[in-house]
Amino acid sequence: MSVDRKRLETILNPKGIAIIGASERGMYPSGIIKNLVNFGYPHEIFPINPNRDQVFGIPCYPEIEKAPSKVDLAIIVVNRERVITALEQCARAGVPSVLIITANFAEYDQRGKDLQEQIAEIIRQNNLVALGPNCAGFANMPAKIIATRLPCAMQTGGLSFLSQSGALMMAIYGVFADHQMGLNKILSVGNQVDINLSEALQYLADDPGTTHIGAFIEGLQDGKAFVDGLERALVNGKPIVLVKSGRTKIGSKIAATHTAAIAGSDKVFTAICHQFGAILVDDINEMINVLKIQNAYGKSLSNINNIVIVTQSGGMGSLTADWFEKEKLNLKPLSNQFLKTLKKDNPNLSHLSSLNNPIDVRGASLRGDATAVTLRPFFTDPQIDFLFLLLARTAYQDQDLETARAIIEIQQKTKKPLIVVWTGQRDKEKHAITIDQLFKHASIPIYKQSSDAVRSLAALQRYWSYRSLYLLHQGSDETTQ
Amino acid sequence: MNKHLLTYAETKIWLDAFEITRVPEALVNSKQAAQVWAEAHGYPVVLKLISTQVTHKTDTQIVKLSISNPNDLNITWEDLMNRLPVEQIEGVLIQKMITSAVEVLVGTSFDNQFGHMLIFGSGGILTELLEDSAMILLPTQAWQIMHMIEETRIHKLLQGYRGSAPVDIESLVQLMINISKMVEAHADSLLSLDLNPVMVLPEGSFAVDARIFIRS
Repeated sequence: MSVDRKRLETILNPKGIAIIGASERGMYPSGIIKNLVNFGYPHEIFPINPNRDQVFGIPCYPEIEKAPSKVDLAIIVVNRERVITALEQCARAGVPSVLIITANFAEYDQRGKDLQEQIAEIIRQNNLVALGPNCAGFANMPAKIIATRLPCAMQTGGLSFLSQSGALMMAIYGVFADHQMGLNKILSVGNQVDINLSEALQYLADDPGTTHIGAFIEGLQDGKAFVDGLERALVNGKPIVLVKSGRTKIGSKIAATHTAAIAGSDKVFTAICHQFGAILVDDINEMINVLKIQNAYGKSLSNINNIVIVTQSGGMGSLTADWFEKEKLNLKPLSNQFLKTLKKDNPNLSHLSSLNNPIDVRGASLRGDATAVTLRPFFTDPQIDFLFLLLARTAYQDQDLETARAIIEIQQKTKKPLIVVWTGQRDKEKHAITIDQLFKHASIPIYKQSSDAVRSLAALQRYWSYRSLYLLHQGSDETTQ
Repeated sequence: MNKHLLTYAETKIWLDAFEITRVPEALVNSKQAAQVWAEAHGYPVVLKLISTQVTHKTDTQIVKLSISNPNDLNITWEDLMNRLPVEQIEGVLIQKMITSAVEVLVGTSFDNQFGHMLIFGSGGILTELLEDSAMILLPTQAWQIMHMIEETRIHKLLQGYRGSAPVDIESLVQLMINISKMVEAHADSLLSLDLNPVMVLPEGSFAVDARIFIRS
């Protein structure tokens, strides 16, 4: 299936943006301009408003046709009764693409539905590319284009995010920011009068800056394009983690009303995701849990053969081992040679005799200054591909901080992939947020319980091994010809 | 959406055209023809009353299994003829009875969003109870079909379990490849195909019952 990448390219990388309905008041009319300017949009910004001659010091024009240089994208924030006129003006002025932020269309009432149909017609007749209506906007981080109202700044990275719901997109953005996961592109599709989520997915699957994708889907409009997007992403090695609402009868009623899109049946959707390697999860937390591992370790996850679990507590160790078995993740015993190395010069570990994995080093070995000595053999052994550290909070917050710092230091030095499960109460502790943020800042995935960590890693392992299988058969003659 | 269930004769044409193997069977309209067929193919046999009105045959007791001799055949025939009004009877299907096979379900279903799906799982009358199935989007390839089979619990049985011999998975995969070709050729008219059960034996796979719905 061929995809016209220029459509989304013009929206995501516009050389010249006009904001029709710009103002110094109102959430979107003012917020978008402020963000564009504050985040350093590198081209011209043209506020359009017949009632103003400037907005935040930028010269304002009465009509889009009066803009002195090229406008690639017009962002429309006027009220719904004036959107059609704005679109017609854009068409006359030769503006190729529009982002319609304005809401209260097909998702709202009959009048809204009628207006949206007229909008669709104008778009068709004039060959416009349109995002929305009822759309929260988008951000293209590496290009410094923030055409939406984001709550805070964020670094650039490889994660791109798609959403039908604008409000949810902003909330999830906040979660990504809290986890310090750099973003590449973030896009809400709104009512999908033109660009739909499937097309956006196809675009991201081939987008060089995007290395992995998160998506929140409510209904689906173009099943074939969706499958094509999934397949492209699979072949290109870009894991997609999806949350879909409207999977139950009640949920789908609400989803249909909200975006007026039709949801496919849940069993079929689940099977399609499975067949094309998309990781379908049940809630936003799960999506973040999976994405943060992919975000940290990327393609190296495709080559993991020897995972070692190091635990402070026998109980946590066996619980985690249970989860490994449930998720069909392999655990190999340690080697004699390794155990010797481990015990050498480390009196804390003189009790060790078994080669069992998980290995219980007991509490004292992973506290304070004992931590680095205990961990060094694990982090420097070339036979170990991946480490799981299981810790329990102590009553001594300062010591926990010291432990955390030691773990982070050795991981950063050796670059051995690591997941930390640190169980225990966090509220009201002066260092609680600090420890979490330290790991997040170091891009080391940290969890409160093993099940979250193990299930997330297992989902990614399955993705990478399925991808190998898929690629193996891709060029083969085993078709049904 | 209007759908139309194919008659026995029409179904046979579709399945034969795509080499979707069926258990040896014949449509007969007389007790004598049934006798001759049973003599030629061997007992035990199964008799099924064919009518386009009914779908779950075991529910309405118009399937008679384990007919092991000419006498039983006579008695069963008479019994069946009394089950439905004569105008609803298309004929009687006589089939070789297969025992010691793994029963699976193979089908296709058209989804408005994505297209035709191929479904595989545990078959027979316990299908809905066991909820052991998987599906993939068509058209497809042998490796994907195999991967789908491996996801089900019935796969263990196909491989041979607790003394029962492994069965001919290759023929099962081939049957599904043929179905995939059928769907590709008739994507616009086919709505669904239901083969339940398909008997998978140490040699060969055979559909015992088939229903095809097309667009009308």
